[in-house]
Amino acid sequence: MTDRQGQIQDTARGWLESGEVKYVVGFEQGRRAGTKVAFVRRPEDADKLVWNSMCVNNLTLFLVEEMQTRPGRGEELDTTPIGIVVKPCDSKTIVELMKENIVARERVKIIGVTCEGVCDTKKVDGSEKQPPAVTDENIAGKCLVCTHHNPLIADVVCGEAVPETITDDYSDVAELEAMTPQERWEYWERQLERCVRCYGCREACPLCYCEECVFDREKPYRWNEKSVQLPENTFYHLVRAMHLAGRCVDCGECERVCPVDIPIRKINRYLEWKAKERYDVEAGVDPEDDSMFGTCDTADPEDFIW
Amino acid sequence: MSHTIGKDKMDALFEALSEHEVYGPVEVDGVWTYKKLDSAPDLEFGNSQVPPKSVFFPQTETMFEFKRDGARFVGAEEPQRASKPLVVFGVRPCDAKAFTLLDKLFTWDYIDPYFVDRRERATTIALTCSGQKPDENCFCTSIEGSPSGTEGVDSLWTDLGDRYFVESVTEKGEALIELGGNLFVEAVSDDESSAEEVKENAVKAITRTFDRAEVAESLRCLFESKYWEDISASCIGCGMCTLLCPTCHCFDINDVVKQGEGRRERTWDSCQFEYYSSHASGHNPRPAKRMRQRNRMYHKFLYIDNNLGVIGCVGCGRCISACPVNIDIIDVTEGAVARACMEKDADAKGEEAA
Repeated sequence: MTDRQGQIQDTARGWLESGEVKYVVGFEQGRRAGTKVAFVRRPEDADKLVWNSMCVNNLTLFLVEEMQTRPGRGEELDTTPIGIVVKPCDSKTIVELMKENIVARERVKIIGVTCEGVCDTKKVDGSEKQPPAVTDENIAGKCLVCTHHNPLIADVVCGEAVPETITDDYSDVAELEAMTPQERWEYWERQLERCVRCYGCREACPLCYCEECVFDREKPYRWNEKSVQLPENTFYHLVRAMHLAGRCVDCGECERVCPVDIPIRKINRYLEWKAKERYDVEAGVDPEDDSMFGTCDTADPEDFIW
Repeated sequence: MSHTIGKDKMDALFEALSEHEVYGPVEVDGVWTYKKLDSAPDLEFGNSQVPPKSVFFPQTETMFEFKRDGARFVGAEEPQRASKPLVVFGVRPCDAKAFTLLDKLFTWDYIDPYFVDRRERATTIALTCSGQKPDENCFCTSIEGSPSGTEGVDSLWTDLGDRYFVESVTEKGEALIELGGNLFVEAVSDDESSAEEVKENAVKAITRTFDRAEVAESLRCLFESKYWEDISASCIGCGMCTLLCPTCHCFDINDVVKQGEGRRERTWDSCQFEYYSSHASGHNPRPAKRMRQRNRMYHKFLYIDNNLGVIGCVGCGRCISACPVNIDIIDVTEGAVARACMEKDADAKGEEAA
């Protein structure tokens, strides 16, 4: 871990000294064991960047923010790249964002970090003072099914390569598929009933980058009522899920941030599974891939339409 | 006079409250919220994720219903309100204190009939913090609160293992004892000292302190400061800190019209949402997240204080625990004090140089 941390700091320092990047987004130590998002602008501040089991956020969210920032009146757009620290799962987001022309490769310099898994922050005691070691008990759910422990896109890779040993059989979502529609509906009713519509899942998702979300639109008409009730909550989550089908890279941020623990990853993983099974689509792997919804093949299976 | 009630008497107490609407903490898949109960309350919990303000100020509430008559809407009718007395179990003292802020707010320039009606009917039973609470983000003692505080409380209960120590704070609290009859027994001095010990331990368990002596003063001179850009840089713009706050009370009003019928509905809103401050013209006076974060702090520590004479924070720590990017309300306000000093010094030096 510390080795990776040193490499991250050295790379960031070097880029900031040479002016190759205007700032670096990474992690810094937060209160107690947690981390905070760091925006490092001066080479001498690169020392505050950390790497540990609590570096959970997908920071590419801030890359999207940078790409969507427009210059003020009379100002020129500063296209100097930014530096960003990414885990392998986060690096998949960048690939996906490149596919969708949201991120221009030349505007980002990527510090990719090889990864053996991070903690589920909800399983770490809040009073813990040091970032704990990743164990079977506290590991994040997404890491248990992760098939990419090495960055898929990076300018510098920190850390030794990690061998891939996991095959994802989607057994967690297969359980849901095995339910009867009635059971499944009851399961989701129970989950979605408690949604508080803070939109944390949308805001934390780097692929939810629409500048005006359909759920914020009032004109020409409102698609979803503001009522925080089961039908509206369900509609929100279903629409969001469909918009992520074939795009979601399972960075797990939606589920991590949810204040009422809705298992949102289950929805997205189901779609990921079906996209792979039916159309041989895996999001976030190759920037040259076509997007699932952007292509049409007459040989595509249609057995799910009834 | 104080009493105790055995934990094995809770079913009987619930029975005795059959003429009441009873609310309390409810767990679903590990998540606690306050709901109407159909059996005795389970009070073995830390604190709820969604605060009990939802009992008096539901997240979504129908204000009135109407019908369409051609091009017009007619026949606005308020939904029938329940008239039963209401009891809320297991409210943590910080959340009960927040009720008193909401009382002031909802009767300030206009008497809100929906909120006031429920509050008047209600008896609030608070629960002294013990067990999982206070936790690492609690700081009620820094803002004139206490893990056994009685502001906004009618009856204060303290967990003594197999029974609760019950102190009646108001007449409503005394009425509860009367209604419970022999379910409550007079406390003995041992009970009192045990309860005292639980209360003292709760205070000791609080690790965070918050010096807000100069917060208001500092905020006043920081409105245009770059500070807000720095602290909001990592904010992702979700509404968790406000929706889960026991004192936040902003709401949005919408008409929900389906074919011939409609209802006017209010729903919790959040100043952290970009669309919260958006005008009908499309203009948004608070377009950047630094402005929205600033507004949250100014509202809590200046505006509410100016209007109601209290600050908009009770130290429950929910916003700290829930924030996806670990923005910490204590760090932000204490940071504001430090920044204000720094900027003042810089100004003074600038003037000297000139």
